[in-house]
Amino acid sequence: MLRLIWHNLRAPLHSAKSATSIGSPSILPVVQNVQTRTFSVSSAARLKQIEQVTDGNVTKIEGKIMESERAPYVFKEEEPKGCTLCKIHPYLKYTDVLILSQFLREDGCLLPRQVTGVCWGQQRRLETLVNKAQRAGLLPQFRPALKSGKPRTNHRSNYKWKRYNVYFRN
Amino acid sequence: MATQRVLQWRAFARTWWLYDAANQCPFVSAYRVVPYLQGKHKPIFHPLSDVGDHVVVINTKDIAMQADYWRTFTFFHHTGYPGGFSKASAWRVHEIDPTRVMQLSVYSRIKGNLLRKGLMRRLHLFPDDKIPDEILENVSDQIRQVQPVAKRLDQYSEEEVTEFPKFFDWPEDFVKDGYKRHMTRKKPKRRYTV
Ligand SMILES: [Zn+2]
Repeated sequence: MLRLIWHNLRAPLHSAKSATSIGSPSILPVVQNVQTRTFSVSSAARLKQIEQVTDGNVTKIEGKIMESERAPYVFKEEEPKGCTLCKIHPYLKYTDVLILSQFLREDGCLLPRQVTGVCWGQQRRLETLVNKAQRAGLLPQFRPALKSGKPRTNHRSNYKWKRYNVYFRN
Repeated sequence: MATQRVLQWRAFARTWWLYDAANQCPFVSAYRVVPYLQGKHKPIFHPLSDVGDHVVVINTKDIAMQADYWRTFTFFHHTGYPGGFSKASAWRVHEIDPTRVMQLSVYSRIKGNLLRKGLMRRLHLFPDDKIPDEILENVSDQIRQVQPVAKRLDQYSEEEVTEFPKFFDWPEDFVKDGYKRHMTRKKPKRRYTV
């Protein structure tokens, strides 16, 4: 109740302030309730790569549609049921880098299940296997960039115990 | 009978074996190497007859340890005098002398009797593949490695990587660089509760 009264008292004050602010150049009117909306003219259902081109004052951000490079090599599913990893190759090892590298981003992180379509259990297995492969230095292409911005020279870290060869039992 | 005499020489002659320790576990390799030093791979073996062979181990600087062992595995030593105890983790020992881890693992595999010192004298360790010619000319055969060496992804050709069967195609409406991590993002401040 008190607050209501307080607001009522403040209301004319506010309106007076805003009226003055438009006139003065130092304080700009704050735009409120900006609605962000996605817009699309064509159907948005293909692999895309966002490209940003700056031409003078104009910056153009475009979602370019690409052709998937792995389309001809994908397994053809006879029964679309369950995840592909369970059906085809459930017992992976950390040395199967040709399979593990398919589930990775550029910086070596695992892609989410919504993209890869594996089940929860296999996702957990993939996490541990990718970790092992990274520690054994088997995935030199899939590593995060250095903080200094320099390109990597060695496939293994140069830190104390991390520079020697490592293997895992399974 | 000259042939009998030659057969005798051949049976009791010391043969030289080559073992490549690159990407091999030193503890598992010790199990493979020690019988050759003792001569247990021969049908004429007897503990009282000295029939052990020489083993030349190369590439000991490239040995591989399991999981976290480079950091966690420690070697202990005591001089016998008070305060003579010292220890060092495996990576530190390997840094000082790249043949030391292999030597210690073979040494600990052999039983602690009077023969051990003589057997260790017949083990020749080299950090890389550069062997003196007077040793290399004796070598007649090689010992099989204990574990397969894993192939790195950059050792495959580009064709093999692209034409390998893929487990999934990119889903509909997938932005290729959309899942990129932001490396410059600040770490969230840690809140301490009193
Ligand atoms: Zn599954």
